[in-house]
Amino acid sequence: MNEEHTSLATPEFVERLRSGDAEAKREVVRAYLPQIVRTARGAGLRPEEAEDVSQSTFVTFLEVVERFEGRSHIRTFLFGILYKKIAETRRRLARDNRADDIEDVMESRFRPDGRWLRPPRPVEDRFDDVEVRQKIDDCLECLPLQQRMAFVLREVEGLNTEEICKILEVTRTNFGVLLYRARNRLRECLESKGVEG
Amino acid sequence: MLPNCQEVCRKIASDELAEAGLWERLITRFHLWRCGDCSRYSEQLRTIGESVHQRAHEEGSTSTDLERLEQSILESDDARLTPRS
Repeated sequence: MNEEHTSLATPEFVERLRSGDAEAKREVVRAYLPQIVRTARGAGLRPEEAEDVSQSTFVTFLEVVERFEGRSHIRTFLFGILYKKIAETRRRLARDNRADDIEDVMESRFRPDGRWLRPPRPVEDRFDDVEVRQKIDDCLECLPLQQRMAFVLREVEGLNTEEICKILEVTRTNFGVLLYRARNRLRECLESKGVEG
Repeated sequence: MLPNCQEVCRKIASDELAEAGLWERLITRFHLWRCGDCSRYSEQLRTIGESVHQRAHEEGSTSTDLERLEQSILESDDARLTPRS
């Protein structure tokens, strides 16, 4: 799941990059472009927006790479730039102006003693149906960016907690809250659309 | 003390269990084994994650798109480094 590209993490490779080696730059772009584009799409950008943001991410990366000190993985550094670019784009497109009420929704599902009051409904639909997939896309649109990035970096890219925390600049506790909210928001949304996976 | 359903759901959804101690993992598994509702909740979260993963990997950009984009990125970098006359 997690595409490591360990040869790109060596100090020798980082040095080649910092010194402007054209082949090293090409290797980085080739290695991480698919992941970067996929994550930009996963964060809710349309294909053309995702391409623009991916290109802008690499252009910024190549501009600043000579100052990269190698304290984190190149991928972490790249994803950090990507996250900021996506945030800028989404702010520009004004897609994050939604209140976060998922904590109240989850609270209302349990009794005061912590047992289920309204338990999840049983499995019926299949998640690989085209219609269900469209509903998943629609529900992903409901997630605020930080929750969506936490979910995509974990579930789609398979990154570990430490790396995601560095990319999103959050603590482990905050990351747990983001995941909790993202997953529950998705689950609630799908259930409200009649999908019970 | 044994965790209730709400606490178990929070641990599962926040990935807290991955870093929890052996005892905490065991009692959570025991709870899931006994509680059909929590077990269903856990299964639903897993299925949603797998579906989104599968979809993202299936619909990825074509190799032509990626080659064009790669070329465009490297050309932008070349243009930045080439001194203007």
